[in-house]
Amino acid sequence: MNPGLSILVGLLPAVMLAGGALMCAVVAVLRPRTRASLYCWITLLATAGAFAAAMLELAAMTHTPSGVGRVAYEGGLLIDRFHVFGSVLLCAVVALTVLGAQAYLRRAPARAGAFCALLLLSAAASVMLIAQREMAAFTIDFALLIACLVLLTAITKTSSVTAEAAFRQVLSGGIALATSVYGLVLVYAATGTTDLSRLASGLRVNGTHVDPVLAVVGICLVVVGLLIVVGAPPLQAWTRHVQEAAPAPIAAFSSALGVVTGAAVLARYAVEGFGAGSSRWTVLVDVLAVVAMVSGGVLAIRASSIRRLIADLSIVQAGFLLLAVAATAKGVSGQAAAGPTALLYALMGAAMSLLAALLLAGIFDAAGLGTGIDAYRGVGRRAPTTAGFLALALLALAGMPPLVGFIARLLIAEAAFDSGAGWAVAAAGVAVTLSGVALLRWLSAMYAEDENEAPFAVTTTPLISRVTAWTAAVLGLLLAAFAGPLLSLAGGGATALH
Amino acid sequence: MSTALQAIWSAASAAQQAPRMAAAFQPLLAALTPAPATAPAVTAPAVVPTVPPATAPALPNVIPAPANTNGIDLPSVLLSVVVWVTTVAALLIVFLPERTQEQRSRIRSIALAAAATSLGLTLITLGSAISLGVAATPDQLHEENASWITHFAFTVHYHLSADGVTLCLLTLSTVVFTSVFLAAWKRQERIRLYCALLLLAETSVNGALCAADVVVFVLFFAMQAVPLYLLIRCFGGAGRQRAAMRAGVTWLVSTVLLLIAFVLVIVHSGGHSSDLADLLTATTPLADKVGIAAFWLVFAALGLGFVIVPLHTLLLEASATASTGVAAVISGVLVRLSGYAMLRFAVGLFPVQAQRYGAALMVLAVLSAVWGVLVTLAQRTLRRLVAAVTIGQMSLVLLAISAPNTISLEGAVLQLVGGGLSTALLVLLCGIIEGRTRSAPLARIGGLAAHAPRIGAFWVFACLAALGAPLLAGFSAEFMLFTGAFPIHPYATVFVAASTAVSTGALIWSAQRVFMGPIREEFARVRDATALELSYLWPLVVFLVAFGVLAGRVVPVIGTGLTKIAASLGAGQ
Repeated sequence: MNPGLSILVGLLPAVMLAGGALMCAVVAVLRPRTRASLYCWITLLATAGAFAAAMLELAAMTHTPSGVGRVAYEGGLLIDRFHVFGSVLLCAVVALTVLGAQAYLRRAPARAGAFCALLLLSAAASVMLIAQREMAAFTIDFALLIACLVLLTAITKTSSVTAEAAFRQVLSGGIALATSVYGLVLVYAATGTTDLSRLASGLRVNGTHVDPVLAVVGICLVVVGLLIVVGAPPLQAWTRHVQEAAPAPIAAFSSALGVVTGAAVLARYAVEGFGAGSSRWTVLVDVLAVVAMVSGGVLAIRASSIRRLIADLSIVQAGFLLLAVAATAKGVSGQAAAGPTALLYALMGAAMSLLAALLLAGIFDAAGLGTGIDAYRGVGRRAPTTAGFLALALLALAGMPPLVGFIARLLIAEAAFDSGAGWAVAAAGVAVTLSGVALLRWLSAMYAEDENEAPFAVTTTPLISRVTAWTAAVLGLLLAAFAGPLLSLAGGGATALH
Repeated sequence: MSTALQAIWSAASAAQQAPRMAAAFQPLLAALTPAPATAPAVTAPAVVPTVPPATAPALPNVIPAPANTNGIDLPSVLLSVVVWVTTVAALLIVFLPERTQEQRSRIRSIALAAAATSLGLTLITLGSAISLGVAATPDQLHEENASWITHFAFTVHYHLSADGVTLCLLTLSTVVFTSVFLAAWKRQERIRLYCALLLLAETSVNGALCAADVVVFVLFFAMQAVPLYLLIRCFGGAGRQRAAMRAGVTWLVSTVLLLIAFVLVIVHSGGHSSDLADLLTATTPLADKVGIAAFWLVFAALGLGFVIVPLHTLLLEASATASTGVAAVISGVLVRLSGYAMLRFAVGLFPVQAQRYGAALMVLAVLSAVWGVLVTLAQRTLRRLVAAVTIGQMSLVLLAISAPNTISLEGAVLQLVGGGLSTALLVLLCGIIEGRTRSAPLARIGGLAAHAPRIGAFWVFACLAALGAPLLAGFSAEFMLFTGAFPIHPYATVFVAASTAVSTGALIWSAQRVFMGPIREEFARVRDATALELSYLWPLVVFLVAFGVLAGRVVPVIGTGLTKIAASLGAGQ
């Protein structure tokens, strides 16, 4: 096959998503008063196309035990099972967001085209990013992703709160981009090439040894830059602002997509670029994971609004994901710890529970309920079904049994222990307890006796969006019940990392 | 003195080896129960073609249950039904309305039916285990084992089994929950939430009891946190907010400590499995430091729910604050679950460490017993008095764990069951008395027996059961427990026995205080127990008597459950 065509086929999921984005943009420009449902259909079709393309890629890799399908640009672009796993997960996030955003699109039909185009474009950038090992292409994709997420936040032009959140996101994104680019420059200086996988070999292109100081500083800067997307310290502030200020579907999408993309890219770079289990980066990531888990847990206890609670719990979750990323060293049995497998499984749960929690909170927003803990008093009695699903989603997000968050945390703890980060697991235990306490506080308010608060009706949100949010919440239970086969898929994706 | 002790020891051993009287019922019960794995294959009827075992298709990830007498491999789902039937009922209840009296009755009926189903199936299993005796290795009767989490560094099995120990505790749990649902028959406010949460709590307790995989155990164990918290928070009395938060946090901390301990063991055992059987037979022995750390982590985790001094206030406060039914569950079941888990995991999984630190555990047991007496004597309300007596009861179990041998551990299991039943009975009676006296303090109540003789009789019976009167479950339990522990910790046994006598004696004093003497003016129109109240008190009484009278047949079944623990203790010596 023609090499160019081969690469195009390899990137078909991203091409489909970008094509869908382009179509939405064209329709929005040429026919500004088009109904929102058309954009939704375009988005869903593009997502279905991307999913089908990912499945085709997977089918082509059936007979490759290494899990690598196509390699281009001398290893700079890698289409493997890890990429397919990430692409499918991102497609699911896009589809659930569009289906769950019907209430928002009804309220703001004029922005439907831009909304759908930005969803698809950011998903395309993420899909591309997960396949990259080449520094220049990575920088472009990373910048595109940040730009799309900022634009999504800023799409509600009339709200000063969202404008402020978008501005903060621009600042954080700029810092992250600058940090990671500077880190890449140092890595380039250390290795003499823009191919990140060279770093793992410890040799420059001319055969001499890589300068360790330069490499470590470069790696640390890249890691810190990527953490903004994951929503972990030191650049986690945007997560809280966006999740509080943006409309629920946008907040849900930004958080879920950010977590999946950031953690997946970090895992690829960490294992393939920085060296699996290398203390050059694992110590930093472990420390940042502990900071994220404990600070998120402490903040969650004081959370006075539902959005802030979800944001703080998502920071705790980001900490756990980082712990999984770092768990790649050789374990007690002499084999590498199963951090990547645990990470991919945890990503499924993280994305679904974040989406579910924020979409369900959005249903209450649309019904006119405030976001404070007092407003949620007695919702368990006033809207039992939606409140029940919200409780389920929050339980999954906080890592309570028997839901996916708990299983994911258990697997991550095992992998971290195995790779010698027992101290971080102890901190993780503290974080789980803090998250649980924060959640109990909210559950007690939700199921307390109501005191004749003003009635509200969740039916202001279309049925399709409510069913989507409920489905995402129930997935938290199903992902735990079918952990065996899903871990098999995750394991397949993880084995592609070398 | 030593000769007398030797005689007691011999008597206890003889009781354990008592002849089985189940032979007459064995064929009937064997037909109702899947045959154990060791049973010889039964020839299938000629008209049904059977597949030879060698050519039968292998079921990946599923370990088949023993073949039944028809020659068809049907996996037993009995334990799954016992565990999950209450969750199914809870999910059903959540979607039912509760506006009218009829709708609320429907909710109560479904909850009661689910709890009764669980109880009925448990009794059938226990009955078959008792009838089959030790020869049938009851833990294999209804075992369910399927791989759940695979393709990871370790495998997790959905492994449920019910040996003699489990079955006795399962009986306690299902009886108490059924009684609690009956006790809630007249409850009107928020019955849907109340029943749904209680049903979920029952699932978690029964699941934790049947779990034969440490991860599955933690999963079920931790599932209690949210229902327990909401039950205390939404339906408790004064101070419920603080009590609920403390109970919730206690359960969360327990869960986290257990998880850390078990992950530590899984990683270092080299077995790549979280199944209890695999961990016990792991090829790589645990390093000394790892074993010690894991043992104390498990002990601390379970100690939080075990009401050991100085951690006793956490759950005592919860049981004193919660509504009557929830308090009965906490004192009667949840505390005993921690005791069961201590036996199964702290002693069973870490026999070497349990024996090495036996003296430390003994000191804790003595401290708990002595402190329990002081706490009991200081109480001014009936509910708190009953809650405080739990400290003494659990110190007995801790004493048995500090001196682990077959006799003391069998006594500990019986004590868990007998103590749980008697405490649940006392708590439910407290609720009845509080309803009639408007929760008046002990000092202001008196002479109730004149108008409520049946309540008085039940109270005295429950006090005697807690004390360990002959023919009741507590008697055999305490006798075996002291017999087993005395040779190892003689002074501690005497201390604990005396302390327990004093603290349960306080209950007898409470009977005299509340029911005897002249009737007070304000309680002159107190009613006796109604038919509904009798309906949920009698089952507890019946089981207290049954476990006491049939101790000779129950103890061997418990012994089969303790075989593995005893074997590991023997290996650890």
